[in-house]
Amino acid sequence: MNQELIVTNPSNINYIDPRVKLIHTLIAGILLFVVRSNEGVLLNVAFMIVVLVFLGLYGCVLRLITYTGVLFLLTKFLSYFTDGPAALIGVTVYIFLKFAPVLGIYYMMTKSISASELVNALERIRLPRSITITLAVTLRFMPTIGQEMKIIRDSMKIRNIPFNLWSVLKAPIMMMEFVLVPLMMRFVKVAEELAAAAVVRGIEKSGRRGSMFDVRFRKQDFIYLLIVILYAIFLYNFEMGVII
Amino acid sequence: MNVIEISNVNFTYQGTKDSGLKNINLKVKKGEFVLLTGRSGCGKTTLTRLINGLIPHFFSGELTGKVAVDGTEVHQSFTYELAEKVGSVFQDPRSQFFTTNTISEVAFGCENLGLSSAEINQRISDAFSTLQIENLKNRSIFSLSSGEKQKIALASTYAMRPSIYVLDEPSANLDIHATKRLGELLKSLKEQGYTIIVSEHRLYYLMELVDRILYMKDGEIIDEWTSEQALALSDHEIVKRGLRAFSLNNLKQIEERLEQPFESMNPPEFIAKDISVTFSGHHLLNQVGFSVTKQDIQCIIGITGANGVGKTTLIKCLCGLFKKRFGTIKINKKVLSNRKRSDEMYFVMQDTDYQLFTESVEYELMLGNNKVKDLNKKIDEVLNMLGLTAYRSTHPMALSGGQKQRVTIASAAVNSAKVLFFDEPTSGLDGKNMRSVSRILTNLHQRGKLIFVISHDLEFLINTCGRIIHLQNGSVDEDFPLNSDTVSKLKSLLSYENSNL
Repeated sequence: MNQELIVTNPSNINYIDPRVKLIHTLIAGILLFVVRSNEGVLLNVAFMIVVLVFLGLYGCVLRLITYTGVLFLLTKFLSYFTDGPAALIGVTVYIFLKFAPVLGIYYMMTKSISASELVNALERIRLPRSITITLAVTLRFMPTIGQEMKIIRDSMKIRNIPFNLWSVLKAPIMMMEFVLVPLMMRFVKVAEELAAAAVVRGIEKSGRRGSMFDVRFRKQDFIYLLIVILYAIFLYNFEMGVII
Repeated sequence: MNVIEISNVNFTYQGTKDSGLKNINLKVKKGEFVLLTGRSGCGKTTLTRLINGLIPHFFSGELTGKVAVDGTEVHQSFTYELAEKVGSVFQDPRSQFFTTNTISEVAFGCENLGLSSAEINQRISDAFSTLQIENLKNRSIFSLSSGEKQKIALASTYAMRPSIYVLDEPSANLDIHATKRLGELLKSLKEQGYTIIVSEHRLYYLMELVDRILYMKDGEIIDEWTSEQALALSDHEIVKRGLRAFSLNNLKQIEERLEQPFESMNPPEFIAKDISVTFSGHHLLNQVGFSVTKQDIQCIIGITGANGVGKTTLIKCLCGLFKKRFGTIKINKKVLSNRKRSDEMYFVMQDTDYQLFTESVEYELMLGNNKVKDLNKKIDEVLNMLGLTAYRSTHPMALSGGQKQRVTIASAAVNSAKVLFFDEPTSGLDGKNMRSVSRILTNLHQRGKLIFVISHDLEFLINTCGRIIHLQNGSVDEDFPLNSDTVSKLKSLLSYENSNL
């Protein structure tokens, strides 16, 4: 996973206010239920690709195209089978394909918004700080969990505790204990240190939090939002068969 | 003018019986540089928490006496008011970051204070330029070395413009070079007139800066020295107090180690040849090779090299944890497969927290060692040797840092593996624990184990190793016996700035 969160500069034309991105996420969520046809799904992905290109996330564009392409071909291939396990797999693959646009949204939300921006945006929509800070820190720790798991696996191997599918099936509780005990111990420690670090950096100050950038809606935000809404209306009509 | 006034303070953490601090009286003048030292658990971290207000605002407990910072009593101020006066940097740089980018990290504190965006940006660029870390601007936190992370931590407190800095073991995870750079940063802060309080085990890099050194024991301030007085302390005085050396210039090898009886030892022969590892086209390790044969002097072997040079990767390759590699490894003239190697070798990793899985020290030593003959007898023996007998049924997580470290070493000692690897076994340990790790490794070595230690702890290496393998640019750069003639060479290798970083 690319863990780099670029500090975005609002003076750039492709800087979109996080609040607008939140609205986009909401609309995209609704569209998931509107879309029924394969063409609709592909259109949806195509729109996300345009958005990601606009935001300059080219690596993510590539991954999104690969993901969708592979799943689309698989669906096409599996659609020749009408019964048996292949059909069942076909349905599963199709469900994954339908959710491909979500991957695009995920990239948009995690790769183009820094934790600080997200906290500020959520605060502007009046979420309490206890929620916003928790969310920001959780997002910050997602990648760390992966790293910690890797170290734990290594140290299990050294202690002759094999960690593979077979050992997990044979003694699931014990394996869970071996992974969770060190992981939880780390979390307790990290959580305490992190909270202390937040306190000494003034997190408890009430009132409006400052921001590195001045947070306001700009021209591009309105244009972006307008395009998203127009696209949503178009897709709705497309699915309803008005425009074909 | 006194910026910090602590009078008659006693403190006990909630849920513990032992008092954290006893009868503390301390006055610090504006612009003073005070170093707190002492064994692990002596109360120096607790004392720093009094100053930055974490006690009583974050860690609760029984507090008596008076603590005033800048003329205001700490318990009457809000934490964010203190945050503007006292900047804190903690030991582990991994757990004090909130964002994943260096700029937004430095901005974080200022944003909390509710400053205007113009002011925040001004302070960010100011922090990066004053601390001379412009090269770290707009980088991902994950791509930084420990030393760089610690600089960013310092910059993010600097941006909040406190007048007092409190640092809790800031060098614990740093190599010699990064430690030196940290010392330079602190020097420039001192020159700007800030008051600085540092709690540390490593003392040498601060000797030119400190006005006062306070030695603490069992929660009390016992001794107070100037740096001249501290440097004049005899080795015996330093060892008695469990401290690390105040200066790296006069470090000597322990002589008794050189007179070990060699006859009883029978460590295996070990040959590594042409070990190469490639990460996405870039050679991390390029044909690394070394051998330990019966003809060589029998000793513990230190593996050194700058951060990121691939020391840990090398060890992972050798003991079969890391499979994508080329080259051969022979033990006693036999080439071993990956699986066989993990039986013959044992690796004690850096962070003890990840290596303790069970609910008692005894179970911990049994875990994965069921093939060992006379397991119970062996466990008794090892516990006795490492001074852990009293903790046999204690939960590993209830132990102190030094004790946890000893438990991980103990499980290596119980294991039947002949070749043992250790990754930075002394990072963050005080002088006494460091010396005890050194003694234990020597003891294991005398019982016929072949031991390799990755370390950048000069004092520890000199105490422990008889041979140094230095890695640079992905291959073995130097391989020499460590004796009184080569100590200075080792020192210059460790302090050398690697251009890759």
